[in-house]
Amino acid sequence: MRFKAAFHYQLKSDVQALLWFYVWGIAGIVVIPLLMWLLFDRSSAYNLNATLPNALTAIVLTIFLIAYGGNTFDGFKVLIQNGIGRKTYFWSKAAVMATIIIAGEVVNALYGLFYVAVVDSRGTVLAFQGFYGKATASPIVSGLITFLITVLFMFCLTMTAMFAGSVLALFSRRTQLILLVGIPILLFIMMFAAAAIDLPRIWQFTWLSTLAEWVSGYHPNVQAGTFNAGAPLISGLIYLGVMTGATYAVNLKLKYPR
Amino acid sequence: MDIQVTNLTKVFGHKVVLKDVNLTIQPNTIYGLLGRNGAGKSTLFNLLTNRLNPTSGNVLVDGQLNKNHDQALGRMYLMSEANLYPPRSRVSEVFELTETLYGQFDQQLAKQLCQQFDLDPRVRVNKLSTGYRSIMKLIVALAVDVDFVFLDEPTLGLDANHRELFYQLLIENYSQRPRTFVISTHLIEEIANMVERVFVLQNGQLTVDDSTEAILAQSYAITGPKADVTAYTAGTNIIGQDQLGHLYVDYVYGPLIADRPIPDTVTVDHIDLQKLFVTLTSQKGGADAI
Repeated sequence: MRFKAAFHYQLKSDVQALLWFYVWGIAGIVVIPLLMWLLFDRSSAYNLNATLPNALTAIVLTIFLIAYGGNTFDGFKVLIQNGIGRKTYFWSKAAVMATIIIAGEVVNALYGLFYVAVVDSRGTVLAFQGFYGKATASPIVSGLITFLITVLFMFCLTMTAMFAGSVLALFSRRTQLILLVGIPILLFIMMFAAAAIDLPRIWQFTWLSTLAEWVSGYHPNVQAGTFNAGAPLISGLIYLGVMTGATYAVNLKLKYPR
Repeated sequence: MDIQVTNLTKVFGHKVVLKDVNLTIQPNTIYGLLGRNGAGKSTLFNLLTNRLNPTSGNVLVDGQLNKNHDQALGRMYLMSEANLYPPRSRVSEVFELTETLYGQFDQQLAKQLCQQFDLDPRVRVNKLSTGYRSIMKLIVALAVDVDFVFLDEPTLGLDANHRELFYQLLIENYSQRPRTFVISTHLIEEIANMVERVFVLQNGQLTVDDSTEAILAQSYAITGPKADVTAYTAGTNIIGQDQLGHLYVDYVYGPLIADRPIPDTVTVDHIDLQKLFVTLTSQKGGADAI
């Protein structure tokens, strides 16, 4: 009963936010370039292909999932104020995110179909089509598998954002700010250090490289669209299970005041 | 349905905020939770409603641990200074949100209270003054159907008229729908007539847990010349003293010695809750004296 109430409340507010993300995404990527062309560059013909990205809806959805998946504390404080505990908060939020991912990926696929049919026939319908679009002899089955892998990838990405957001939610705003500023700086320094020691060359010979190849389904005779689809499905499910457990455990430690 | 708190301890870093607190919150009773700043009142509320997890000890709501227990948490509402509602929500949306998440909320009463407090339900939460934000939360506290309402400084920012209106509405609400209210406030004289039981927290420890009637019945101010007063109060539980010119006052919490005659120069009066609290929690009195 309370799960249902928490789910409905969060779904309603998150869907409203997602619609605003779409509005702003379309405004930023499509409308503003069109206005700029109308105002300043009427000498050349307007080219929709150049301004409308194949991944428009996917970009918006991904940014939304990272931002709202990572925003843990705001949801927690509303629910705990209304007598709903951490367990229900976590599972209802995970269910809302899952619902949005599935619906969002259907939107992405429909947009992909529109893009290929109307804007550019060289475009793709699904995000990982280039890897798994020919995984089986049947285009329909391959399409479904690619869709599943895309959804699973988004689940993993969102759960990672939820984990990061839950960890951050344990700290005060000041510490959060230090972490949010400090970690990217640290990564930037590490990137430079890695470049200095020619990490890409070393990378090829490490187990991480082998793992990354296995996770993606790469094999020596691979061709476009024929990566092994089983590997990302299995590794994705394992990763999702581990991240879900870790995020759940961190969520049980949420508190107010921090 | 009651709430049982057993051996509740909360430590923040090296600071022990609550230490081994044991108490029972009975149904359909109005409590006063008294304590000086930093005594641990807000922490106790946050632990009761599981906003915080305890370092040790338990909170049982009708025999069930409150930790992440929606059924137990759904029987309680905590009104505190902190605003945990979405800041851009309108007041009416906060009422709807409460109805959605708690399941039971008297919209009609909320509407009526908004009119009485002159609160516009279309205003956004982040546009409300401190006083009106308190009023919004008080309206939620009175209109939501729960068994335990915890009010942490409920009159923060309210003017005298609004405070009086709130106490009047609280009594009306309590008589129409009896349930438990636990009120924490520094304005003790304003709630003294309505609280049935009192908890006093001092330095994280519960020092008083009794009915208001019983507490006041055993609280005395013995006034007179110092020699006579000290002779009369010898052997009693003196929790504080005052000197007013040549008059000397001993404050006693507990029984007086029955067979000791009262000297003609000495008067024995009961003291009010506010005075008792101040004396109990002052440097002179305090936990050791109880």
